[in-house]
Amino acid sequence: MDFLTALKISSSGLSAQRLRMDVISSNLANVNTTRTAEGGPYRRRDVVFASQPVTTSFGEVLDSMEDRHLQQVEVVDIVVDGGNPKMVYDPRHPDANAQGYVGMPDINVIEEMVNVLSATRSYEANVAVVNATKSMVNKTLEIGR
Amino acid sequence: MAPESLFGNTMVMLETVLDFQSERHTILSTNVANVDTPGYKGHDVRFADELKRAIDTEGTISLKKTDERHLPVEMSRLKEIEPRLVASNDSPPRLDGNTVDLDKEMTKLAENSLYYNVTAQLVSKKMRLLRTAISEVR
Repeated sequence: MDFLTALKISSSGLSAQRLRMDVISSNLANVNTTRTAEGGPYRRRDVVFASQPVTTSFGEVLDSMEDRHLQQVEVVDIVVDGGNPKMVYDPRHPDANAQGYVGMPDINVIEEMVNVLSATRSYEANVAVVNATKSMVNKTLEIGR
Repeated sequence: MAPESLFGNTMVMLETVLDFQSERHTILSTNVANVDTPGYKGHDVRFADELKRAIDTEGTISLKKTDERHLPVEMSRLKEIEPRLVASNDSPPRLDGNTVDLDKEMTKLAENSLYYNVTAQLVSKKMRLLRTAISEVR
């Protein structure tokens, strides 16, 4: 058990939340995108978090308590929303169909903004843990001075 | 030679407590990292009961001697304490099955961090005390 494990776990949380933020900003940036490489309007994406056991070189050898209970977080998948596009009546739009409707991404901006806040708070919590770890390590280094 | 001869039992106890607190810190950071993981169950470490029992139990653990002329090796009972890992069930699971309450975890983390700093400070002071005792002879 060492502090590097704590830092490793916190950094896994940081990078997972950062990736989540990337996906949310992609959703927000493409709120009006009607053309994509795979055809049709942009589809909303979401991250899937899963806890994974922390593997340290020493931990792989010893089947100790921390192996079973220390779980870092990882983004295991980015799923694409399978819902139908939102049909908006706009006959002058270049991508409008014969009836004058355009398929727009079904993205709720408010929902995305709430996710932005949630990701920010979780990121900040992990930063706070990193700072706490750092202060504890510094305190340890002061022993014997 | 008993380790108590120079540092006393206090040092062994402080060591044990430092170990426990750093372990608890890692467990708590695991909880914070997994605050958005669906189905994750939070954990915590209990230690106070075991520590109290070890302090109350008198005596030390001795190594078995195969020869009368061997020097005695004694270990404090504090060395054999194992922290107990428990599921933190102080909050009901959310809709996604996650049991981590971020506010509670951050409070526990700050508290544990403070206690750790206190313990480290105590070790420092104990060392300084010894150093004073050593240098004053000169």
